[in-house]
Amino acid sequence: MAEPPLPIADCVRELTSLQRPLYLYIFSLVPQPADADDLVQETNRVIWEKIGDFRPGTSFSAWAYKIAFYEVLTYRKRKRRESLRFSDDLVENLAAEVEGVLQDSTPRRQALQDCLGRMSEGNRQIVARRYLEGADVRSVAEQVGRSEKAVYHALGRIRSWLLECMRRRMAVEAAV
Amino acid sequence: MNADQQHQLDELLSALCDGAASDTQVAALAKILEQSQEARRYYAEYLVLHGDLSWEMPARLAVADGGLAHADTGLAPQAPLASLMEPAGPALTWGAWIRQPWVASLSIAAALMLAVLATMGMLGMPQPGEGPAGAPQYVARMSRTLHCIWKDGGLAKADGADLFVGQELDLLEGTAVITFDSGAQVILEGRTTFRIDSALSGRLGLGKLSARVPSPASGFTIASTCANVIDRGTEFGVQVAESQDTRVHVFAGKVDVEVLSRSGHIVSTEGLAAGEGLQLLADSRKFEAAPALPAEFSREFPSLDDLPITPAYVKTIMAAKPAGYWRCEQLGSHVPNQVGPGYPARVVGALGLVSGAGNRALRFDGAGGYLMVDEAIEDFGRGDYSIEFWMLPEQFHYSTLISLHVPPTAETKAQYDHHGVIELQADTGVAARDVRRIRFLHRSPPGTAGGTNVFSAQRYVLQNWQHVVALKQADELKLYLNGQPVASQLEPSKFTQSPLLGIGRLVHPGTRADRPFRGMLDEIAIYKRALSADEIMKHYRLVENARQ
Repeated sequence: MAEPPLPIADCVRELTSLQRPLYLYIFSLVPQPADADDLVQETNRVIWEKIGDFRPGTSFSAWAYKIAFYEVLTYRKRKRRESLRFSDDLVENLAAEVEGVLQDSTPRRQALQDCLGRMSEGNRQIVARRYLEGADVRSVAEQVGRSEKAVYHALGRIRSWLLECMRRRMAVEAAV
Repeated sequence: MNADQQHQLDELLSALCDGAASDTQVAALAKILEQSQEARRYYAEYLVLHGDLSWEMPARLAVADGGLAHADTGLAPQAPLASLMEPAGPALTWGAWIRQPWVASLSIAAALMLAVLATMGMLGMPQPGEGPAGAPQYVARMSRTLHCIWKDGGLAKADGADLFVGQELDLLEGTAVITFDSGAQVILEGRTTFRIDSALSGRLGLGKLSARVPSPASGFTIASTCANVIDRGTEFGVQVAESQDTRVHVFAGKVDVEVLSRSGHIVSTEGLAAGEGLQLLADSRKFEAAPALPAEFSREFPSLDDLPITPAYVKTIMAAKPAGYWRCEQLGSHVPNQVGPGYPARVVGALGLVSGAGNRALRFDGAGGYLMVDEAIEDFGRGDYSIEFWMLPEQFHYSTLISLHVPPTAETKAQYDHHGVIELQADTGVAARDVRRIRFLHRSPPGTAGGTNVFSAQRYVLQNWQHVVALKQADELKLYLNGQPVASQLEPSKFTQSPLLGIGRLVHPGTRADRPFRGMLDEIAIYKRALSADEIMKHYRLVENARQ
C-alpha cells in the first residue's frame, strides 16, 4: 500500500461511503451480479493499492470511477472470447452517463423510496421477490402464480414506471 | 426518442436486466445506444435503478429448504467484520454468499483496511455477531413502516425484513415498528438512530422511541450513553438528545433506570412507576424527576385494530358457505357458530376476549384454555376441505392452533387419535422446516403418528395478524399465508371418520403434549370444499384494504 495522502481514517471513510455508487457504476456496465461483485472487490483492492496516487482536493469518486472503468475494460478483454457485446467506445460513453446519474445519488434514492411506497401491493410483491429475495423470473412466476412471460412484462413495466415516477419526484424536489 | 423507440428501448433494457436478452437483442440495443445520447442517458438511469434495487437485496439468501429464497439464515449489509473474513455456516454456499452485493460493499480490500486499522488501534474492532461461523443472528423483524426514509436507502428494511444483532438503523423520517423475537416491540420516530443488540436489548443513539414489553420479555433493556432503561413489565418511552441527555417516560408498569458513569459503571438505580419520568444530564450525570409525557410519543403498536373485520368480510365468508364459522365476538360457556345452531365451540379453561374498534378476538394465554366443538363435523375431510383463520402469535413456540381429532373408542381407550392439526413450530429445531414455520398435517386413518406434513416456506411472525388457510384439494394439500401459497404436498387419502374440532391446543388429554397456543385467534371458518386461490386472496385483501 502506498503512503496515504489523507489521514487513513479519511481514506476509509471515503472508500466505504463510495461502495454503493461504485457497485452501481460497475453493475451498470457489467449487469451480471456475480461478475460485478468480483469487479467491485478487485476495484477496491486496486484503489487501496494506489491510494497514494490520489490528490487531495480533487474528487475521490471521479478518481475511483476511473479505476473502476479500467477494471471493467480489463474484464471485457478477458471475456471477449465469450461474447461480442458493446464496443469499448460505447461502454466509455455509457460510463460517462452513469457517472452523471450517480451524481444525484441522494435525491435519486429518496425518490426511489417514495416511488416504491406508491406501488400497488401486487407490484411490490413482484419487486420484493425479484430483488429482496434475489429470485429469478421463473421463481417469481411460480411464487406469484403467474406465467414467466407475464412476470417479465410486469418487471419491465414496473421499472419503467419507477423511472418515470422518480423523474417526476426529482423534478418537483428540484423546483421547491 | 419517439414513443415506439422508447418502448423498444424499455423492452431491450428489461430483457438485459433479467438475463433474457438474445444476441440479436443486445446488438439492437447497442445500435440504439450508439446513435442516441438520450438513449444512453436512459440506459444509465435504467441500469442504476436496477443496481439500486439489487443492492437492497442481501438480507435473504436461498437455503436448501424447499427451494424458496427466504430468511432462515443469511448475511446482510453492515455485517460484522468476522463474517467478511470467512464463509458463513453450513447452510450457505460460498458462491451464494460472495455474490451478495454487500460483500462488495466492504470487500476484501476494505475489510483488510479495517483489519489493519483495527490492529493499529485506530478504529474500534466491530463486535462479532452471535451467530455460528460469523453468520448474523436475526433477532427482530420490521413489523410496520410508515413514510420511512432511511439514511442508507432501505428496501432491505421494508415491512417484514429481518434485523440482526449489531444492525444500525438510521431513520431520517417516518415511524417504524420493530418486533423483537422476545415479543418486545419498539416504535422509532425519525430522526432516530438505533442499534439492535439482542432479542432483549437495543441502543438508542439519538431520537426517541416507545417500547411495549410483554411479560415473557421482562428485562428488555434500552441503553443510551448515560443510562440503561430496564423493563419490569411495562410500556415506556426514551428520548436521547444530541447532547446525549436522556429522558425516560413510564406509561404503564415499572422500569428501572441504571444511571451510568462516563466509564460505563452503574452509579445508581432509580425505580420509576407509571406516570413518572426522569431527566438525566449527560455532562454531569445529574438527574431529576420529570413527569411522563405520553402524548409526545407514537404508541400505535399493532393491535386488534389491525384486524378490521368489516360487514363485507363477514358477508363474503358466509357467501362462501362454510360448515362452521366462529367469529369470536362473544365469550360465555360457548362461542357460537355463525352458520347455524350446530357446532357451538365449548370454552374449556380460561380464555380472554379482546376488544378493538369494531372487532373482538379470542386471546389464549398459553396456560391451556381452548375451544372444543364436541359434535363431529359431519363428513368433513371425506372430500376437499379448507380451514381458515386469523392469528397473532405472541411468542415463538410449539403450539396447536387447530386440532381435528376423533373421540376415544374402546380400542383406543383414553387416547384421542388425530386426523389432522395446524400448528406453529418453535424457535429451535434440527431442520429449517422446524423453525418458526406453520405445520399442516393430514393423517388418515387417524392416529398419533404418521400422515403427511406440509410446512410453510415462510416463517410466521410475532405480534402481527396473519391470515392462514390450510386446504385439501383432490390429491393435494396446500397451505396459504397472507393470501399467498407457501407450501403444498401430494396426499390422496381422505378422512375415514368425521372429526371433532379443537381450537388453541392439541386435544390429547392425558399426555404432556398439549401444545397450548399463546396469542390471539379470530374469524375461524371451516369449509367442506377447497377455497380457490382467488377466494383466499380476496378474503385476505378485504382485511388488508380495510387497514389502509
